[in-house]
Amino acid sequence: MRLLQKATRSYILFTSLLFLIAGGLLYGLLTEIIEKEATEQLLGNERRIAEQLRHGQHIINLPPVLEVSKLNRPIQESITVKDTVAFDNVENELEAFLQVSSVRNISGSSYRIVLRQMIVEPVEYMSTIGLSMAIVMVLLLMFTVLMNRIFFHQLWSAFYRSLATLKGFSVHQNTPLKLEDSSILEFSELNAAIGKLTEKARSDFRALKEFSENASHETQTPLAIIQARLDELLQDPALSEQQANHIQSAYVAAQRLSKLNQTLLLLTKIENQQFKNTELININDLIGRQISQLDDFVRDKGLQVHVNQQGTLTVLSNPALVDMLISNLLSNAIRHNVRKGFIEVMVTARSLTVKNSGVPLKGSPAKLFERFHKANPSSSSLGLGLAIVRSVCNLYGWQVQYQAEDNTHILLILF
Amino acid sequence: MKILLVEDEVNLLNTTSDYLRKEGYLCEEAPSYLAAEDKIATHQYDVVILDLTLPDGNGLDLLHKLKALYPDTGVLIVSARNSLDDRLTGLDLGADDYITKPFFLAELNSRINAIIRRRQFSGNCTVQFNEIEVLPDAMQVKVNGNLLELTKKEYDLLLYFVTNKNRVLTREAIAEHSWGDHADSADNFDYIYSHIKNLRRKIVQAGGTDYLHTVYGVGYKFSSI
Repeated sequence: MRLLQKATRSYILFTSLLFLIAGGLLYGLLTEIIEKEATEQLLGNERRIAEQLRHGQHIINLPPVLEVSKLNRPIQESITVKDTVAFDNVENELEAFLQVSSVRNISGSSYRIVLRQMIVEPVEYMSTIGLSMAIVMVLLLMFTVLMNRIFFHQLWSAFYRSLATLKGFSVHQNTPLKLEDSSILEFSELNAAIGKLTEKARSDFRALKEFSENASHETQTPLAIIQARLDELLQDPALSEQQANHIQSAYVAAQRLSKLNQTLLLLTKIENQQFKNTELININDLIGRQISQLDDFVRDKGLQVHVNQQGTLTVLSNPALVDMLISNLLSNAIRHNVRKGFIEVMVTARSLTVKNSGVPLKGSPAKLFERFHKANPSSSSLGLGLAIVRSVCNLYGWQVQYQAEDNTHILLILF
Repeated sequence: MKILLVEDEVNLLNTTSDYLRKEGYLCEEAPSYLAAEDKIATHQYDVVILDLTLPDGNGLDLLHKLKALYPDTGVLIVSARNSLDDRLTGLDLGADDYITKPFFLAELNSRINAIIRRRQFSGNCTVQFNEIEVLPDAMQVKVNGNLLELTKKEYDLLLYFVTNKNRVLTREAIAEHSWGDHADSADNFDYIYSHIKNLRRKIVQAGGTDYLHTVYGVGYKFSSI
């Protein structure tokens, strides 16, 4: 929910509550004051009528508002005030009245004086108050919403601009995040905090990148020296076969270490999104090229390779990464195949499937994409091939799935 | 052939320059950016082997200066980073090729040779080994003057062997030279054997001598003894 909507909703809720309380209060106070005034007025009128009677003047009856009658026998003077209902012959209906009824002893005879004043019924009060409250409230809300619409965008524009800038922020960018200055204290403080945070993220990322690069450089150089020295040692014609084999195994180990280092760095780079350059790549062509490059390995294992092109698959991505993705999938299909097995590649406009024969998977399929997971622990592979596949797919939001059917392994990528 | 080797790691610098001298090059060493700057200011080289990460400067700046002074000098970039960007920038600036650390010395030799062939002879040179003659420009091989029918892989392998003659070449180095990153696709090196077997057979059938010696458990050596 947007801030404006949320604020308006709460505002409406609280205003309604306030108006309800105000209405109740108004009703209570108003009825009390009006009744008090009416009682006072009736009592005053009663005194005036008694005074007139004392002067012997004749009083005209105006039922139900005024009724004066001479009683047959004298009784005690009294005065009562009460609410009553009487028939109004003008309106021709029963109405609510406030009634003052008294007995006065004037010039030796008793008179009953009844004075009535029509009063407003509670229901009428309530509906009148409710209606006026509702009108005021609607007007107020309309005004508020209108004002919000006008001022909200002005007030929050700095915030929304900062938000848009922040959304475009990437730790890879070379320049600091530039946020517009705001005259509103809260926003300028927020911008300052964001500025600090993004700068920290940027510098940390730079440090990490430099560390990875330095680590790579520092590791690769000694490895290069080891490899070069071992290579020189191998040139000695006086070497015994056993010595040559020792040197050879050290040499292979150094090479393996170097490949491992390079691959881990590559994974870090993919995860840090350092492959920015993208191109439109035709996967069909790429697969054709790669299969011809892998021909030696396919023939060596006596594999049947079949490419089924049901559609043209074109993706916008980094060429080196896609190259690596396809190469890893195909290499994997060759490596984990059996002699005289098969590889079936299917390309549609949205997906790529690589099916290959092999031995049934021993571990859990979920672990297949994890780093250093190996189908065969004694194999010379690094166990990073499918980790790279997954990393590249994650980077571009492609889905990668593994299925097994008896002795067939299926890797499916949905683009 | 005069080569300048720019590399900050002294140990690696010595190993590499020893090797290059043995291969018959005139090799000079520059262990830092400043030393390299001085060398290129005073001498002209046929090929400069340039490590991009130097402690006192950026190798790419050096490449820029070098190309401004001697556009004809061949440049081979050596980089420890598997950073695509630096390599591409290097190639854009006029470098001929790149090689990543750690490299096989034989591979370095092959690359230098290819650069020299391209730069000095525009490819029009032949590499001769007794009765075997390799014509890199036409990608052809002649034995006793007779053209040999070779596949691309066989040709690649032969040129690699002839360029690195009298040297033990490990199976790993051969695989990486001819198959690059795909070399990892197999669990063993059987695929190399079949190509080498065919290559040997074709040379012998054409009346040539089989100069390829198997170094058991290690690799091969191409030599007349």
